[in-house]
Amino acid sequence: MIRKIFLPSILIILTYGFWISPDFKEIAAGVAIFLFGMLSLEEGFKAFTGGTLERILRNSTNRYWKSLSFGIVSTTIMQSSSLVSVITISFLSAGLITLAAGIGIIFGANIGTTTGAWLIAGLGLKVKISAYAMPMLVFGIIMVFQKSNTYKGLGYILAGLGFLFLGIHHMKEGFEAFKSTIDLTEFAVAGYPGLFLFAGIGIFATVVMQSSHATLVLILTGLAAGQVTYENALALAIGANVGTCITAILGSLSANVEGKRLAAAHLIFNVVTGIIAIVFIEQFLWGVESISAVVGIADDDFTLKLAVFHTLFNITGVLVMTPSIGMLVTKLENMLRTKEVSVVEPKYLYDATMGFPDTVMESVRRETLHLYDNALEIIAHGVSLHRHDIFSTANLPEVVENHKIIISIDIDEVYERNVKVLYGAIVSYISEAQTQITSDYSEDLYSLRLAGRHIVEALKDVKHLRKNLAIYMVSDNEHIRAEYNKFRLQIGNILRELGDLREQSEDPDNITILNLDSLKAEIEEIDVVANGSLDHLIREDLITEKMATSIMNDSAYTFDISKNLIDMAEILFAARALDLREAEKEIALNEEELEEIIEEIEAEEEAQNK
Amino acid sequence: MPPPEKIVKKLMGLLDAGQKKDRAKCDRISELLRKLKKQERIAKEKLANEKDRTKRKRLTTQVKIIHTQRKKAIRRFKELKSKC
Repeated sequence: MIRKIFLPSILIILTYGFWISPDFKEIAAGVAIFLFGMLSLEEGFKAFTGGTLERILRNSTNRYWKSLSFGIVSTTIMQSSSLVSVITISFLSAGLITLAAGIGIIFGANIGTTTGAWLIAGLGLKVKISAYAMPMLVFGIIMVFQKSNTYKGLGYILAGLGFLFLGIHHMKEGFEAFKSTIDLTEFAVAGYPGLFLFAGIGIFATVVMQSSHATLVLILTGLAAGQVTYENALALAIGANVGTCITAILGSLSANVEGKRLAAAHLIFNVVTGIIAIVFIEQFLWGVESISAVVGIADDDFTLKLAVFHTLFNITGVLVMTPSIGMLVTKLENMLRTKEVSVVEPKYLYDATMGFPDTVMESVRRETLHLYDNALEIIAHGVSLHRHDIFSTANLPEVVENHKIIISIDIDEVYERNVKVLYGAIVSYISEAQTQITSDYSEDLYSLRLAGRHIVEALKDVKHLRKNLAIYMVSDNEHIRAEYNKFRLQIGNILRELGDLREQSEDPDNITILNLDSLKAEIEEIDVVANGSLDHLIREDLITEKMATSIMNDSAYTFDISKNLIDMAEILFAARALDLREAEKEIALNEEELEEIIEEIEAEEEAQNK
Repeated sequence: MPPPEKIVKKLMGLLDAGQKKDRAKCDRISELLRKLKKQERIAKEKLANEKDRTKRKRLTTQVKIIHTQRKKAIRRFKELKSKC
């Protein structure tokens, strides 16, 4: 219930927000652009996985000192620890680096970011890379349209970076309205309460402005104007350092669990470093004074002192946290677990049943039926039909005609979850059983294995059929739509008939193998290529050449699906008694006999029409 | 009382495994014939009452198939019977 109303509620709240506040709209759009940039960046890095980038990254992050240096150097060049951290998250999500290496880079980025304070304080310089967003987007998108995978990958990376900058820019713009409301003099408090308060303000300001550099500028201005005391300015810098994690946390929203672990590591590092800095503020102040005296910083040059402090407490944080990286990785892996894909487990295959031929046969038969039940969902949904419609008394042609909505299903995913493991277990159980029971049963076991294969083959054909079916069953061209509805109807019919035969299979009077002859005749009869209806559609120019090719291919897939299902039923739903099955097989009609009947009926029909 | 050579032939038949198998098959086919006859009757009744063209075509095919299966079964039954 909550899940159902969650998304609509969020959309309604956002719409209301957009309506009442243009600034809110800009912030939300900034977040959306930023997240899109993350996705694009990951896509780009994926293009280089298994190749050069992986090798470069592995070699430059395979030791802790290397990943730390990587973080320091890249952040110094880019002048944005947030950007380095989100790129690292995408490296990790794409499987290019390990979590430990990622943590090393983040630690390095925290040291690298302190160069920003030096640049601002010492040179009054601020590198504004957001100005590069537009050219990056233009070049990136041009490259995305190239055929070469390398160019495409580079294009996605460039466009991703462009979107990241653009997103951050819009978030900042949106928050401009709030900037004027941050008046530091209102909160001047001395001692530890003041430190915590100002650290909190620093966090808030950085979250709002999406940049620790912007907060540092604010602090320096405040210091110069005497709005804040030196001590409170230090607390603000600590807060800015913690607040800068928000970008990484935002970035991890679109990342996998590895990316989330890294964002959590980033947050833990910055919070721990912040706490250490606040608790040992006196010692840090002493350290800053000593270093300033050594390097010759004037007593009243608080801006440079702030840069010293920023560097000092970040280096201390790295020194303190480095020994516990291993523990941090283990804790994070335990806390944020990879979501296991729940797969369907075998229900009837146990080692205990292995010793007795009858129990082996029955276990395999039941498990293969279980496999069929799971495959049914994929087949039915694959042709956009619901199982409850197929197994009801509803008129199937009407159901097919009326059900025009494509049922969403990821066949590969459901196959992995519901079929693959089961099929593998059956094959392995049969192989094991063949070594333990007498050869009298090997033929039956082989048949059962074949039944499983027919099911899997049918599923693969459904996957192929679905590609065009999803397009043509909703096409504006009524002729192509009708042809694809025929395919759906044929498969729906087969599933319904097989459902009836399955119910009768427990009946001692059942003659499944003989009854399947009618189904075999039916699938031969409705071959669109053989019965001339395709020629008619082409001749009358009712469908395009491409459509005709699709019909021919998909008609073959539909035939194969039906044939595989019938072959499966011949094994699974047939009488249990071997001699009865053999007698039925002797009487069942072969292809020629079936064709003769079909021709006879067609001739009678023609005569009637005349 | 049947002639002694017939009794011997029957006795030999009972002891012969191959013939035993054929006899079992004979029984099975006769069982199938009974079931097919029943199914053909049901299908014909359905066909007589069905108005829908598509369904009639399906039932016609079904009746013809069952009928051909029955003919095939009778042929096989006769072959086996001569051996038994």
